[in-house]
Amino acid sequence: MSRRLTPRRLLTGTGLTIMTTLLVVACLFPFYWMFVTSIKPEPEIFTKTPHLWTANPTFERYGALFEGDFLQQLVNSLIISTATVALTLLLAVVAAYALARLHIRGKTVLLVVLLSLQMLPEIVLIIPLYRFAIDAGLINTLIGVIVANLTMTVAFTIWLVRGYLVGIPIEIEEAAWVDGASRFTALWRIVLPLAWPGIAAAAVQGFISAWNELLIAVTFLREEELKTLPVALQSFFNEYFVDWGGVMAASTLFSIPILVFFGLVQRRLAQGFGGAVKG
Amino acid sequence: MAVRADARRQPPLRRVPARRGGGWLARDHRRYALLFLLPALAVLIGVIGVPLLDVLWLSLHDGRGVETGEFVGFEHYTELVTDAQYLASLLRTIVWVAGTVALSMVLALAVALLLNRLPRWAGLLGIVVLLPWAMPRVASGIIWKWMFNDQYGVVNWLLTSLGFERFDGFSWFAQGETAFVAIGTASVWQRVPFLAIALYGALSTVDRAVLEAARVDGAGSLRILLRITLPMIMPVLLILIVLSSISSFNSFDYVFVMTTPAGGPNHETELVSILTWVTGFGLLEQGRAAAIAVTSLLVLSALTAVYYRLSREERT
Repeated sequence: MSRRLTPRRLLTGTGLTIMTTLLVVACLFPFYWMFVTSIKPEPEIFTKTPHLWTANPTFERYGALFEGDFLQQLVNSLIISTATVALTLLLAVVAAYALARLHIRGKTVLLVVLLSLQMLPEIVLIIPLYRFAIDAGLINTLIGVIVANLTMTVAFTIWLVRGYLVGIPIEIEEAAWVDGASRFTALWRIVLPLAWPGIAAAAVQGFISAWNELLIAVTFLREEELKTLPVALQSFFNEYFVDWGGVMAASTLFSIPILVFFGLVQRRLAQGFGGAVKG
Repeated sequence: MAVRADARRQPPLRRVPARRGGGWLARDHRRYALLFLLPALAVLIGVIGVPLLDVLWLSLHDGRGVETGEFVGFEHYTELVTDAQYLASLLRTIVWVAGTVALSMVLALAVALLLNRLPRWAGLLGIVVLLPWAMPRVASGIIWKWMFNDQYGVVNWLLTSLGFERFDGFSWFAQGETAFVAIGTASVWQRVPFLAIALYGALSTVDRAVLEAARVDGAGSLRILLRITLPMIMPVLLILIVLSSISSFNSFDYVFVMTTPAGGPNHETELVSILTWVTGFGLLEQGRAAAIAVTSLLVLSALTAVYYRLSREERT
């Protein structure tokens, strides 16, 4: 291809540059604004003409957060997300193995049902889940939220891990069987280590959806020291005067774990999406 | 994927005498199938199956507070058909789905085409583009609520400095239509990344030789896009449209986070999902809320059926 500088090429080149710049700004600015608002002194937040940068950063708000319930709520979010992922993997990995390797009557139907369950929103199930949680005495408990979270993680994880297991050659397993390993030993020693990337990806996705989960937590958890972070962030708006610096500091801390996970898996994600769409 | 012949060649080499019930292989499979599948299926039935039956059951009962109450048949449903608040929220939800899906598909396609034009930068840009997808929904709702703040928001400042004086101190959340502009911006901002990367993946499967041939024949860029590129990625495009319609129909977090009270002002941002929650947990009319949930379930089942049709065609 020739690279002569014709007016037309210059125009498309400049057009591309402008569009790319706009795109990058649109993607990144909200992150930047969230953080910079959280470290601005009050007068620079509440001003008609926004200060794009602050010469006097303050981290007091982060300190102030930890004097309140924030630390406890952070711990609640961590407990709920971790436990949700652990329970989900425990149930889903062996089920995924069965659906990938074993001959099961009605398997196709089962797979279609599992896929359909992913389309099912929490809002359709929240009323019965709430009623059951009351009957079981699980309202205002973290366990109640963890169990209810399984509605959105288990089917999805089975699908994801199964897709990964199907791609692992059966010959590797067969070799283990020849050596006298039982199906269970082969699964534990041979298949799981090979499927590790797929399982890790499923775990990260499960953690993210549990970390973000709002509806179940806001319905189940009413006491301040039991709330998860998404619920706790709402409390900032119950006040007559909204502490925007404070809520931005809390949002920043709330986003960091997810962004860290994103950093860990972004390469896989960018590749995986194209394939994921095609089922 | 589902029709992969995975069970055909995998006899565990153990000496089990062949007997009734399909022989040792079938029995081995049956035993492990039970052992491995049962826990997950039991939990899924417990947290999804039984609740689904319960929501159907409850929708046929009075259901005030947490009491099931007396049987009322289809009364809740017949009331919904003439209930102005429900119908308004349904119409609002349809407009919301159409608007957010159309806008995010157009933007995602533009981003995907842009990435496709810049192969050298696509890797780095792809990561930047995906970042909004990684921000928690609640946090993204809050940050956009702040940027759309009437007095101190950066959006009003930008619009005013561009010469649109009426946005000086403009209150986006004072009426439904403009509140939806702010909520929609937050939601579209977060949903475009996934769609854009998926479409970019689809674009990279388009045969370059075909595009070159068209160019040699004198077709312009727009013509190539409309006549060749779009038709070739149409299957993926359609699946993405259905998938984002489903997730848009289920939107709850953004409205809940960005409006106070949820669905306000004056119910003007009340999507069906918000109405379900407010009816069930604000008004404590859970029988009625269950009926609303069942109607949503019907809509979602229809969309899911469309999704299956499309993805089956895509695979064959």
